[in-house]
Amino acid sequence: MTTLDVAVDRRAVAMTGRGRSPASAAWRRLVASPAARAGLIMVAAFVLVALVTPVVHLYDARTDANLTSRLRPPTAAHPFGTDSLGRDILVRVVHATRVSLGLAISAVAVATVIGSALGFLAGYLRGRVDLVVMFCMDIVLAFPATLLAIAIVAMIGPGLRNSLFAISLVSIPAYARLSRSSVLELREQEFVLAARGLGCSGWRVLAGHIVPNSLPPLIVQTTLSIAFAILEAAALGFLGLGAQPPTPEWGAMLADSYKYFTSGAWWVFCFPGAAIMLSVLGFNLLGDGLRDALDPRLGQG
Amino acid sequence: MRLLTLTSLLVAALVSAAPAASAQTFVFGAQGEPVQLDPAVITDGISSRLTRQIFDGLVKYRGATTEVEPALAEKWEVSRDGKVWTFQLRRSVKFHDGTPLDAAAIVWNFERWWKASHPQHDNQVKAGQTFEYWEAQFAGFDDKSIVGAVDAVGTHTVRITLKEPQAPFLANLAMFVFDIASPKAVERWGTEFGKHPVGTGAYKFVEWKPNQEVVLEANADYWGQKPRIKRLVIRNLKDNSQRLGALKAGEIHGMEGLNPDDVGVVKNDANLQLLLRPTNTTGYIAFNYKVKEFQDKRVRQAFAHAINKRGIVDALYGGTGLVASQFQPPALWGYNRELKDYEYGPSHAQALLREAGLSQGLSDITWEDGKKEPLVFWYMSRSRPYFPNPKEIAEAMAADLAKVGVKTQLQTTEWAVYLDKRKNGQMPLYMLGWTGDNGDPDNFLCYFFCQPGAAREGFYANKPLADVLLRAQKLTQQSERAKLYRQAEQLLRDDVGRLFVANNQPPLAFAKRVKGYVPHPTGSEYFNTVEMQ
Repeated sequence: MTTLDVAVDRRAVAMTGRGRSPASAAWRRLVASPAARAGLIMVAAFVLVALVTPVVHLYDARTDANLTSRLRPPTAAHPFGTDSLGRDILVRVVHATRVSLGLAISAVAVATVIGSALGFLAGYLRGRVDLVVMFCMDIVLAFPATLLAIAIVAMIGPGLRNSLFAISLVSIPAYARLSRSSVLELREQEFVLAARGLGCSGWRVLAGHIVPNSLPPLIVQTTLSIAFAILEAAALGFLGLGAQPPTPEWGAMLADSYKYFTSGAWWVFCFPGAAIMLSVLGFNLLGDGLRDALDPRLGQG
Repeated sequence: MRLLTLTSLLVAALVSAAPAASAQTFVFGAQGEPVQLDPAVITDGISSRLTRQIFDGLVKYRGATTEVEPALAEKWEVSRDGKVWTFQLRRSVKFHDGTPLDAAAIVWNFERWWKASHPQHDNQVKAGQTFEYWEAQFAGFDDKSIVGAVDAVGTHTVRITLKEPQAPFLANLAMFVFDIASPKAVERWGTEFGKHPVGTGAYKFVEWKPNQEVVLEANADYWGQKPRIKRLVIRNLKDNSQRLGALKAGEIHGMEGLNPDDVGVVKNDANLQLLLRPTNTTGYIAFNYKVKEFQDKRVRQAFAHAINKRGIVDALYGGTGLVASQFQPPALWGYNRELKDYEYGPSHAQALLREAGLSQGLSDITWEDGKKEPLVFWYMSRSRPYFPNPKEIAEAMAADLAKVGVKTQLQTTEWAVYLDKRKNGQMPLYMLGWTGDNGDPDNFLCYFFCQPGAAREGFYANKPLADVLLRAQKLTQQSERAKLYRQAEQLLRDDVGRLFVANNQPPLAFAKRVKGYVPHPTGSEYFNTVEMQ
């Protein structure tokens, strides 16, 4: 997991943007990088698939088994072939996109909201709150994230909802630390001191000045942790702790199919594996691109 | 991360540079780690494969059958009333620790199994072990047991007196659990004997490397057929694909636990050969009779008509499976050939559900105590001989059920927890199966259905069935017993007590140059007949 520590504030971005709005400047820098562009396209494609599939194609995994056409190699009728129960792999990979991506994005959303709220409070209030919150975060960080997630799910039982809980829990500390460090830096900045001098209340300073200015590193972190969450969800699925059969999910599909390696049915595990790889790659490239785009010091200025 | 694990696994399987074993060493790939090597307290096949080489019983099964032939007992006779058995022991047989095998040693072993106060019984129980099979086969311990007395009548003569005749007595004695251990070694090691086994068998124990392998060496003084292979190594290779990779690479010479789709791979490989165990195993679906919906016979019948057993066996057993119509596999002498199985027919199943008032289908169940919950269909997390790929079979059956309107949620858990849930009757609908231990129909049917209403059988109570089975147990004439077992299967079928899905002939794979391995229906095989060319 990458924790970024990028010091950015609105004025700096605005200056390098030569009069244009900071957001559009960042966008220009983002699409200027070929790697980021590739990442953006991949992410957009996966998101589109996840959104459109349930609308255009109804799928009931519970009734989808056809033992008479199992383990067929890719053909025009089944572009990705069929799996060991005769199910169309393309259909399952596509529907799994919604499950895997949905799980990853919601887990990260939960972690972002809770984690950064904790971080902002800790950084702004300091004192005992800071001590307690960061102590708890350090405890969570002391365990390897994947192992901790596995342990949590093993304890509370397998399933999608429980894996969502586990993945968001292990992602929280990164946000707490990141937002806390932003607050610590921003709270001594002149524009914050000015706002305070003009009589703004503590909450107004936090909500109106500090939070908006610490968003860029959080956005970058969010994008990168979606990649991590996809992997994490796939790991849980692979171990049978995530999506329960027959729900299609990339990790679970991989776990069900790798044993067909020895009998030569490469397509059953290649396509779900490729989906994991491409989506993770996409979010990583996009995350890296965003970091460059949102960090003025790395731009051409 | 998962991809990495997968890749490393495949790399380990295919590229691993473990040295090829010499011709004097035979390496067998097993599906897991033995629990321990004291035959009296184990129940699993991975452990018993090892103890069968180290120990001998009074009698053993002949070749690939469950007929009994002499082992440590050279001959025996039985009294007219079937209660007094006199065994003549083979002379000059020694345990691996040099102590002689005599009548006193046999009596000592029986007393250890049978008497709860025996110090070497008591210490095991305190350490959490149970003499489970003795209890099951001989009706309990001490005074409860069917065994009344075991005496040494001479230095090499043992007399066993039963309180009442027991038809499968000799077949029971041939089971791996009743193999004879060295009293001296058991007394020396106590509860640690399972790590330092000493018997009379064709192989002596050398070393146990935890999570890797157990090493045995040939016993040059063996009383029976002397082993051809000097060193026998049983290696723990958990993953089926990895194990097959090791066999192809020549690191191991034989293995159990093939993925069904790898059966064809082994057949087509010029360097490998496929052996099948005679079928002695049945996989089933069990209902929990505390679930109100399952108390209605029409619902159970609907399930029986809904599941396409033929389709599942043809597709998911790699050609080694058979459709099961009843609990006993076809090779058993109590098998009912006249029995008519429920035919696959989704529309018929739907009609039955409608009759039972479930025209909307079934997705939530009601327990007897009024609790409502979604219908969870449990499958085991590991491959078993009767369900080689339980998850896929469960998904296929759940799809069949969903097509007639029965929507289940598939769920699994760790094997030990699964068995616990089954023992306590907590699963509404679950998959399980059985591999026969001694070739007697009693070992299939009575173990499950002689105690009506038992929690471990999903509270299934069928009194007439239990009566028939208990009657059959007391008879000694096989033809009369067979009649009763056929009747029992009919009763079970008419009541849809269980859904019997498939029998399997579990496949084993060997290098072509391995000869003389005889697959046995009980799954425990001897290696002293094996040689490598």
